[in-house]
Amino acid sequence: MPALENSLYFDHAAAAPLADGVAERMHAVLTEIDANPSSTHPAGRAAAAIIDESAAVLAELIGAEPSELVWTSGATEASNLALKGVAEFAGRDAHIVSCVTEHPATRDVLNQLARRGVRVTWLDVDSDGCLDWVALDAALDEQPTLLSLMHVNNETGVVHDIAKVGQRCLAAGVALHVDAAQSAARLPLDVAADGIALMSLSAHKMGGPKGIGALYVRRRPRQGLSAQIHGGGQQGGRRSGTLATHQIAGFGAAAALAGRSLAIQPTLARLRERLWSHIATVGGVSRNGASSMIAAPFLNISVSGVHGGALLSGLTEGSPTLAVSSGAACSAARGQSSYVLRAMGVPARLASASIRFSIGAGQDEAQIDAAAQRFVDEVWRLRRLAGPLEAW
Amino acid sequence: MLSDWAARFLRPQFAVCDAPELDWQGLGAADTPGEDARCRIWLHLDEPTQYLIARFAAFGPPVVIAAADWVCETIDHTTVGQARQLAALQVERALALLPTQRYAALLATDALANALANLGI
Repeated sequence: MPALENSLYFDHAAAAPLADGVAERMHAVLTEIDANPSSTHPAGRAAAAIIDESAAVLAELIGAEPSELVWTSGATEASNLALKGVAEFAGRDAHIVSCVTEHPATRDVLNQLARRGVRVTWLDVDSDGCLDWVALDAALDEQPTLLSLMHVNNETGVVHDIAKVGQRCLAAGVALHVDAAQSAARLPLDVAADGIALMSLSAHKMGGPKGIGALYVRRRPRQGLSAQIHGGGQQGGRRSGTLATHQIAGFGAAAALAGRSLAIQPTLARLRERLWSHIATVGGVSRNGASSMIAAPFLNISVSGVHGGALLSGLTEGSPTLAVSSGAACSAARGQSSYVLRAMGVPARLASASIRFSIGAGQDEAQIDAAAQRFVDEVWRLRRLAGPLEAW
Repeated sequence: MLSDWAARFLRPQFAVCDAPELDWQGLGAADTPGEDARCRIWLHLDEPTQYLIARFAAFGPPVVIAAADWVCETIDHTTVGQARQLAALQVERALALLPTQRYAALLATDALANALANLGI
């Protein structure tokens, strides 16, 4: 990614920079492959072959068959298709269980489905952001149509033990949908071994382009799913619309480098701890989520004595620019304090003064130290501007 | 391109933390709990010239810090009578505040009004 001058990029969970070779692959496909991949002539078959190649790479990454992938515009559309598709297929008896800390792509969809009469059960989390297993078992005992959980929380990085959840779903005979937007290429995935029926994937979190994602849909046993986009019958009618060959090629190129990404996770975890140890020196900073259960790139912290909006603006608009997020990029755009942190029992004022750092490939100790110093300086600046405590 | 208030938020010039030690005769406070915003304005009246020196402390969104800074800059080295003329509308216009940001102008001018009242003159 061409670096912005005087900018420190710590927002890999929002969008990772394009991985090596992805842009070149996309450009080549965009300029050399003109045909529609649904066309049956040789040029069309050449385009389809590129899609098949990407599907094979992505399927291998998650332990699936290429034919089990449905290309979408991103993980949000994939989750929409999974949740709405399963609910529609199940009809009046649809019952979906999920968790209060899910991404809006799940949370908002389920709230919409609930307004249409679908039964939705929400599972709480503890102060570390972890699932209550007793509550999960009780929910599975009710034989819901689907359990939908994210693998890695997009705000805190807390990892749900999907293998353990999957085994319980298999035992209960309940289909499991996993939002793996933040875990693909960061944690090992195996849909077959973990009993996953549906999985949402995103390219731009793993070094691919924005605007492309995929939904894994299990074939055996067959997962019932009603299409949500009609017209043309592409992808076996599961999701109509001409496939974006160059976007899919870019996704495949990024997925091909997933092994490299998985290999650097221990390094990222070490850098993350270095970042935290520097930041903690400012005092009044707390870490959100159980540190032993957090994916390597993530560090979510709350800061006392500063206003969340001022802190985010100071970091992102001041110099050098520190590109971080306040909670999730999605909730930051709405100007709300984090519902994820509030669900974990973080007080509203601290939840609104929360910052998510997410690190990725190519970052080193010097960048970590520069980001930490920038953060510490900004917190001190704002605390000084807030004035002497006796004035309050 | 930063807005006026954003640039002022990043580089305020009239924060009390950067001010020299003075005998502050008037302290005014105003809070807006709904926005989680607080503003304090300190005033010193220079006896020979009868000019005010004004400084602020503020907690809240960036626009709160910007509005407090602008108010202090505007009344700094003016008389009490001139400071009393300052209205929230002037802050809004000077910083081109959006309707949702007007509370910051009211917060700063309320703090100023209280500080002037506490000057004891």
